[in-house]
Amino acid sequence: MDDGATWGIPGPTFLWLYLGLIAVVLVGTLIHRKRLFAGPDSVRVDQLTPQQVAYLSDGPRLVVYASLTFLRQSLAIETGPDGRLRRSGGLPAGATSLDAAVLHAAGNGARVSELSADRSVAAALEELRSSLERAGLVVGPDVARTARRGAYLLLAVLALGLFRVWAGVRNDRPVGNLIAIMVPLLIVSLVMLVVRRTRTRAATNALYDAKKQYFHLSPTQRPSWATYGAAGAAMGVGLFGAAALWSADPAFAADAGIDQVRQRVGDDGSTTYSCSTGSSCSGGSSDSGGGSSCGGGSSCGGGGGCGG
Amino acid sequence: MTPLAGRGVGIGWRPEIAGFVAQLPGLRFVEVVAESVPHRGHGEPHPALAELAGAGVAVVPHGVKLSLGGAEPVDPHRVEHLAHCARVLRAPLVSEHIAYVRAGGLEAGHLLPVPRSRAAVAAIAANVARTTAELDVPLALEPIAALFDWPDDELTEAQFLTEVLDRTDALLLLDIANVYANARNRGTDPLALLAELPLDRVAYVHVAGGSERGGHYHDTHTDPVPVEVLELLRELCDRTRPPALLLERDGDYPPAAALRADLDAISHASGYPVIT
Repeated sequence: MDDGATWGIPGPTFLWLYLGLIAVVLVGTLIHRKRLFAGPDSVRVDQLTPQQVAYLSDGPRLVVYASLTFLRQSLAIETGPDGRLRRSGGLPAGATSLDAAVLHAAGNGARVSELSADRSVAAALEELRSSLERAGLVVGPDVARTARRGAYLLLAVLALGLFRVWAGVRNDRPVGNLIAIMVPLLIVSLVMLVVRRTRTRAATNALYDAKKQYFHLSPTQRPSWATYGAAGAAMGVGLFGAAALWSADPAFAADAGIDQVRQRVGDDGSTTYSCSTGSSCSGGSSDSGGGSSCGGGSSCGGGGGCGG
Repeated sequence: MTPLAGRGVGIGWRPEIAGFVAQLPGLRFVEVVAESVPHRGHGEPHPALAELAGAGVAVVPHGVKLSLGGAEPVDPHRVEHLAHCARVLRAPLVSEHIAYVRAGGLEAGHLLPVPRSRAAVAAIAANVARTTAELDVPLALEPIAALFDWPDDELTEAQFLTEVLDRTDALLLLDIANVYANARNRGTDPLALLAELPLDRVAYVHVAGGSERGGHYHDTHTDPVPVEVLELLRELCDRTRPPALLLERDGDYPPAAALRADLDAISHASGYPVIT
């Protein structure tokens, strides 16, 4: 026996015990989080509205864009020369309370960037968020708080390790291995604390399914918004982001100051889109609609007069 | 039994309106531009087309760049692609134009009319034979709309088409909007042409919209189908019952209701069931 062992526990023994403790707490935490973030067993994708889809894809900002798209395609709003919104028609059929709030703000000459600060717009957005939370699709503050418990437990384990390091150093014992174990543990704990999950796994799966179901609305398909109507256009923006608005109505998108999107062409020739402000971009939402490769080329038969 | 017998009214499938096409309840027939289908080894057909084919909808590849009417032999790679399209889409037939799109290595980018000479008939027949030799399914030939005639035409339009069909085993893809456009722009009687054509060889009929510009009628495929074209379609259907009819729309896509109205008008003119 090593009589000089810190706390009477030899280094290797402590390391094994410590690793075991980490494993137990980590596995428990992961199972806990998996259950917390599961969401409902099944989601009716065809019953999700464009604004719900937009919220799940990219949060409130994209919801506002989806609403603007709906109103714009319904000829209810336009932009003035100063980039402020203007009202150009009545509230379209099928409008939501958010659409009504956005239209009202547009009538007051709001800018797009000011919309989410508008009181009725903010209230409508909160109503949307809480309905999605009740449906188990959005991770609410209560669930997020509960989910942090596991991370706190991991931090407690980390604190024990730190205490041991402190004691070990005082006891003039090597602590390198222990620190090597603690560093990844610290990273995992911080990731769990810092990375905010906004939607449940059910919501992520539903978005994946929706992208397949509504693949025809993807900007890669150059969808005809006139044919799909205002609700179809809003769904396209909700699923595929502001890029859909930029590709279908660039004049409005530019005048209204819709966030610019970078467009890049992937190695396989497919076009992918990503947002300029990385923080609010939903992870892995790049188009996964099922690998179409509508092999290029104009679809118009013969060009010009077509003739055939 | 012709390949599309009783398929009724269909629509040209385009990615821009794929969601609209997919939701037509009575749809049994679409056409896809063959050159938009990925070449063998370069990917699968669009998932929406695969879905339609899987649901029993006939998907007909429609070539636009084979240049059957060219003086030189057709490009074997293009023929092979057409055959590949038919296989992967499980198509009952394919179609191409009686036209040329390149000559002497230059791409015209348009479908150009062939001079109506016996030499041209022979060249087309040879190209059709080269093509059908590689195809597992029948080929339908579509005459094109042309704003002009060549000065050395030996044959009338009807004689020319009849000759081509007689010398090949191809079927006829009759574009009723082209018949209308040609007759109107040349001041001839479209019914006289219909009377002379071998209508028993019709595989299906194209119907498209157009508009009047500068004194000429243009077969634009971006306008609604005019009443005059529908009227001519009705005349055609009085003379023969086409196995199938297809609405071609290639741009400036209108609201879904307007597309449905065009499809319904074709149903009413032809007596086939409404598919919308």
